[in-house]
Amino acid sequence: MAALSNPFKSLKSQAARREAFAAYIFLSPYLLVTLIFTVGVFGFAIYISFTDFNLFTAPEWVGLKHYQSLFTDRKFIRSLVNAFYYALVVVPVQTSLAILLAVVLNAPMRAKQFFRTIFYAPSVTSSVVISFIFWWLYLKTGYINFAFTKIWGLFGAEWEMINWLNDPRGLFQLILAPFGVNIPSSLWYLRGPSITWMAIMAQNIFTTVPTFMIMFLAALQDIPPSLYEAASIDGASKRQQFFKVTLPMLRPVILLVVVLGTIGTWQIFDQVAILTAGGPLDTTLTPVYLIYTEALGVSGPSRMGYAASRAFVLGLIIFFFTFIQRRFIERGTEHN
Amino acid sequence: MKNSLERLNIPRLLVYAVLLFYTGISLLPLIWMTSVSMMTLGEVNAGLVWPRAINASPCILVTTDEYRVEGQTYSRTRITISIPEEAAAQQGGLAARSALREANVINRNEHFRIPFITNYCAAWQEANLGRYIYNTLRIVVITVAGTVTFCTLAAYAFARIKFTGRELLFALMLATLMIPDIVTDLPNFLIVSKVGEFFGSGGLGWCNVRNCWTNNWPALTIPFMASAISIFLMRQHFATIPNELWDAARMDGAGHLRFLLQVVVPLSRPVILVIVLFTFIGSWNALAWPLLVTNDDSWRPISVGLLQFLQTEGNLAHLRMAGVMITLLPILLLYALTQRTFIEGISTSGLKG
Repeated sequence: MAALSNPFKSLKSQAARREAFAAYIFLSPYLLVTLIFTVGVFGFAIYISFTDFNLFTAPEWVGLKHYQSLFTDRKFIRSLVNAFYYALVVVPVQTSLAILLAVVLNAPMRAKQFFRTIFYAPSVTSSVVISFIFWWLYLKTGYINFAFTKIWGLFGAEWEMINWLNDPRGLFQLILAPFGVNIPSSLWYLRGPSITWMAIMAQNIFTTVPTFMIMFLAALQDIPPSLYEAASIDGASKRQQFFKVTLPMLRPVILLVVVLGTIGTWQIFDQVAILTAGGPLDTTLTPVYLIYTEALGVSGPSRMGYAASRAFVLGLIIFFFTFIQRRFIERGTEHN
Repeated sequence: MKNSLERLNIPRLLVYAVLLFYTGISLLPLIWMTSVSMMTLGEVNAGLVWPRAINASPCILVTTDEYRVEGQTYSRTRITISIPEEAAAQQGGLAARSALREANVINRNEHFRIPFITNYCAAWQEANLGRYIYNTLRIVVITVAGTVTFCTLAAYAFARIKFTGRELLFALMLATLMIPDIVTDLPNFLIVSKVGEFFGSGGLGWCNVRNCWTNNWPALTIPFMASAISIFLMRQHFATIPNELWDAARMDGAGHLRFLLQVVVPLSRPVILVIVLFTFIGSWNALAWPLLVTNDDSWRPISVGLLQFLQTEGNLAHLRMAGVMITLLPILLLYALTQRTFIEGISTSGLKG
């Protein structure tokens, strides 16, 4: 009787149930894969980080051991300092270069499409390919040294050939050396990024700038022309227009690019694995490379628990920087 | 006169200067690489900027081979690569290898030879690139088909069906985007091994080896089929399709699956194409994961194969660069043909993703 008393309601709920059933059928392949290989794996990684696990014997619970050893882990700290230098140089340089190129490409001109196509080409190539092109350019007898020799020669100076991919001398060490300041190797963190590390930075900037340039270009085309008209009626110069109109309008994209850039730089792996294996003298050792080699037991037994705990710490650091940048850039927006 | 002076103003020249400079930076590595990939070893060592001549030789053969396997004689017409002795000697770094012939070929009937750049033939042969490209294409096809199927279905459910738990599931999906790959890569390898053993000969027996997944296509493709960013992109697009279309389709008796296949998918071709392209490039360039889950040539993709070749070829820069060129050209060609879609994809996924 109850079902008969309100036929519409039961019909409606039946239809809703059918809809929900269809939805879950549609979602099931995705949910199955993501539950095992994303959510499940994430949980498993948390568990492993509290154990000693060498891939062959069963994981052994050790509690917080791997997290307590964090602050005395010289190799991990070294890799974090390297990654910090890396992000500190690469993110600002690639972001400003991408903005510059986007603004230039956005100017009314011929062959815009042509330049855009050419500029983006390095970004579709794989890290193996790009790394080997640069390996070859960076040889002691390679084109980079050749170019420097020619340029130095123009001023009558002699260029000292640099072994780009195997030179541990740090930036600050090189700058201070002429003043007779010698930084001892125990203070390695004061020596600054090594020549090899800067060479890899240059390569990374080269491959990521085009993607960000395209993102800025799209954002530039969304800025209404009326804003520039209004600004020029108010007597703003081109320079003022760039700083007072263009940059503020680009702010959301700048945030996105800086965040994406930070995440990418803190996770750098391929170039290091292919070109330097963390050397020379650990100056290009990165957290991800350390985590991989420790987990797979490249030098000694596999240490999965250690690797998983370092991976979480790295994940937290990336999250922290993303959060800071968001606050920093969003606060800038509120003032305008 | 005034007109042309106006056109040649300073900022404009500056713009073109920046553009040309950066064009140079983008293209020079490619040009250098092309040049070295055509040199002889002698020319590389002499530090030439450009080879004296393009060193081609008739190195692609069409042959009918008779070969013996386990006492049986077979005959097959095929394309093989063989570098003439004198060309191998001239190129350098090749002489010992060009003499290699397959041991079981007993009679070779040569039809004709096609000339090609000698280094490219040598790199193709030495690095076994044909095998790796074939593997990569298989991996790419499976990954793309799986990703598009899984993600289209999921995106449709999120965009067009009302059900309890939708908002929560969607938020959880977005949250999975925040987990860095490095946290999951290695535990993922362990889970994939376990799943593979579950299906393997010791478990359900779906294949006749102990582990069905590692060193096989499932490990290389299935974990990537649940792509949250693809679902997000498609959902955004599916949500813009007017409701009137759904009402009309339902009047005609169509269900969700029919509406998805006959109306939504055709209307969403651009966004699906973007996902296909990016999945393709991602699979083609993948390195760290295939390195973990493959241990022989049966499914090893091109990036791993190329890396091995580059690491074993020592200082033979001319062969290295030829190998790099062969793996790079298909991607550059694909990019050249579809660059409009690419650029759209980056703009939308970047800005709205």
